[in-house]
Amino acid sequence: MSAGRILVVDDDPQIRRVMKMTLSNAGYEVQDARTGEEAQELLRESKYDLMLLDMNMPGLGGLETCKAVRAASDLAIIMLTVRNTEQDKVAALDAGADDFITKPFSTPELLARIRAALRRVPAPPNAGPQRLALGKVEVDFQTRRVVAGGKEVRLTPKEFELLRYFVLHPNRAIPHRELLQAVWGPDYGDQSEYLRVFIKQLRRKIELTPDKPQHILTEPWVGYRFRMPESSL
Amino acid sequence: MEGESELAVVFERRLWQGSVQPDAPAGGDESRLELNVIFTSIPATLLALQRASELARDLDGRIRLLVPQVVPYPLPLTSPPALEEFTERRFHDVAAGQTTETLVEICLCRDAETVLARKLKPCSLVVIGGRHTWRPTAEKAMAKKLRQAGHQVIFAFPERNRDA
Repeated sequence: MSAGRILVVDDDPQIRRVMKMTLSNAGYEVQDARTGEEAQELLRESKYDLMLLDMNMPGLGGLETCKAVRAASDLAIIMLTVRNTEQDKVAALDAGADDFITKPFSTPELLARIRAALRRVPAPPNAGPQRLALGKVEVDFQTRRVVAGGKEVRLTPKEFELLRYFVLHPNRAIPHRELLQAVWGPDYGDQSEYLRVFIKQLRRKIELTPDKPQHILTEPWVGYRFRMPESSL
Repeated sequence: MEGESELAVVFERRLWQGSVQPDAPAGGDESRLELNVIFTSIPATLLALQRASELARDLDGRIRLLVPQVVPYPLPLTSPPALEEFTERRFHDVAAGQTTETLVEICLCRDAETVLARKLKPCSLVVIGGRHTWRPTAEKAMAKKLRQAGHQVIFAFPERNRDA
């Protein structure tokens, strides 16, 4: 079970490697980016709970990245810097950061600040059910586990996000564009072929008979509809 | 020479294996999704590989680059006009840019369609790169034929408007 998804943004490969190892060992799912631009790209593609952002980076600096990310997302942001002046702290917090850590820092302090920042992140409204039973398939959204016919099935993060969106919007036709933008981000919308591939994979994993799906139904020329079992409503 | 037109001599090379996600199943797992990229031209194939790589990352899949290399009739099937080492090196460079496990299969054949029909499993996922034009192209024709054969085809265009 992942304790949260963290994006580490730092131009120093050694720091990224150490952070990745430390945070992965602490149970977080970690992705890293070398620049602010790359971080923004990753944030468009996937959802994260927290971002650890270096203040001094080439190209789009930490403050600019923080402002841009904060304008579009409410994920927790912790800024990392070697400078410890009042002016820097004020600038970071004004740019939208939730917290500020000065390098060098200890691992326990970093983990404690991450836990504190994650506690403050508001739970998304209408977060949906924690568990879902689809016949012989059980989905636990808390632990991100799917068990089909007694065997654990591995869903990729994107497949899981897609399934979660379906579950949050049951029994209504969801257009391709809406699904693509909800799961892949606002830059997507026309890639219905991509969506078809993911739907096929998801059906293979959660439907008992993927060729004759009972839950993820195709709405011709519109998109897909998730048929929620009555017992789950 | 009997039945030579039906034959395809296949050289299979795992030329480069990218970084596999730590929690991904082992490379030999047959249940993993296979994304088949068909070689058309270098720029189109690089584009197709890029799209396939995105999909493979999000679906925990692996890429198989199929390279049908047509050997014209005056030459024996086992003697392609381009040297085997040259072809292998060329695709090593192409595959080396990938961040996903990539298997390259170079197939010496008389006819590309025949070899694709043999190498692709039923209902395969295929990615083909090509230009964004209203005109008919060889890549579009290939995509159409593969769809008619029951495969799921993603046509990768350059720029943002990605899919057919």
